[in-house]
Amino acid sequence: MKKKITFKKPVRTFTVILVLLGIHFGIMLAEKHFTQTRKMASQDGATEKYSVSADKDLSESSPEEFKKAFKYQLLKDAVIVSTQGNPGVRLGNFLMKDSRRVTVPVCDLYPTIDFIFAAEGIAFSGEIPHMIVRGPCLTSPDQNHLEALPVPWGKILNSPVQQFEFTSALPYEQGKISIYFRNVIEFWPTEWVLIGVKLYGKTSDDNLQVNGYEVISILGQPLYLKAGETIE
Amino acid sequence: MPRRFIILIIFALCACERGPTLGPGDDNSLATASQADCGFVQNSYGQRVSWKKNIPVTLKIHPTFPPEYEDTLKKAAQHWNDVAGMTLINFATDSAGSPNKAEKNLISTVHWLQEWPETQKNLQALTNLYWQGNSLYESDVIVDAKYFNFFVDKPQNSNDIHLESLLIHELGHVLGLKHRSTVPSVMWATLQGAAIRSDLTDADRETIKCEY
Repeated sequence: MKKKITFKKPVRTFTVILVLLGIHFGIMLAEKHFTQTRKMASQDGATEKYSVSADKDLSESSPEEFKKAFKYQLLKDAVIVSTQGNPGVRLGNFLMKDSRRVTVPVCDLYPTIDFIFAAEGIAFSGEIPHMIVRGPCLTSPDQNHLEALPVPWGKILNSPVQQFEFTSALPYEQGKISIYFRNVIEFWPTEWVLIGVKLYGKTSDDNLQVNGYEVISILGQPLYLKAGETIE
Repeated sequence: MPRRFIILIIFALCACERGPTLGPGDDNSLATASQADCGFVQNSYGQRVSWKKNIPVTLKIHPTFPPEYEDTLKKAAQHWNDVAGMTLINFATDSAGSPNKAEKNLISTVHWLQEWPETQKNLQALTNLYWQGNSLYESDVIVDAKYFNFFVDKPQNSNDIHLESLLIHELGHVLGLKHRSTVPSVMWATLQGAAIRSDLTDADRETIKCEY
């Protein structure tokens, strides 16, 4: 007669823990395999290393694939960060091929970026206030992100609402930011939602755009930027 | 059985936590607005914002509003009520001694201002609109009585503004409407001096029926 194998409760619990740990390590190994960094050869033969995960390299994407793929890479890790106490949106970096077929970061081809915001929950005479934050497209030192352009809220909130344009210098002489407001009449709205990103190429008809609905579809919710918000 | 019930409840709660559904994408975009605007202000999901179930909206008339113009205000509201076939807007007298300014305080008000910023002296009136999700919860109308003169029947001069036309427009904003430019509408952004625009158009009728 075959003896029925029975696990005592602590043994069963231990087995379950071992199985879960196995799954965890399996996922870790798979992730490591799929997100390893790549080295890419430039046209002149010199090897340039961009320390980005493989999914950020869109240099081999077809034009059709690229239309949507860049939006995912730009937005999937979008987050509000604080620079010198001012909030801004940090986006994801990605790589493309330039006209000489050299793989370069997006900022090399699109040197100017707009972050477009709408005031949340407020309209003045049916018009929702808008804010455009325009500045240089800068790749972060870790090469995985585009640097945030911080909004100088202290300066803005202390100015009259009739002032519709502000400028601010980026740290380390990286350029300047221009901030434009539209439809602000009674008071400065303090809660804003990202409704678009636009990257400008070197010619007027060359740009990459993402709208606010796409931001929500990728992040699962709107991305809010609050004036005076302290971010850890 | 109880476990299945608990799982069902968790699923139901998760479903409730999801935001509004966006419109479908196409070859170039991943998603579009949740709804067509239909002449209404839209929230960040592209949903039209309106008073939903909180109709009728009650506007408190501030004591500074000239009593001789109260009938004009009520007549302006009646245009919208008639089109909707229901009372969308009614009025109450603000006797609480509140300040004569458009404060965000959950109370919808109408003010007649003799003080107006010079930098905004081209504005005949202004309506502030506040919403949460896709539901409006407050609206405040302020009329610029410093830089403009108003008329009810006949203008005294060519710069006078037809008060009923102006108030119809502002009450349109109160209901959640934005400016129109491509169709005949009382929601055009500008009202010329001495002009009368007090008849709601087919576009206005269609618009209001999208939400009310």
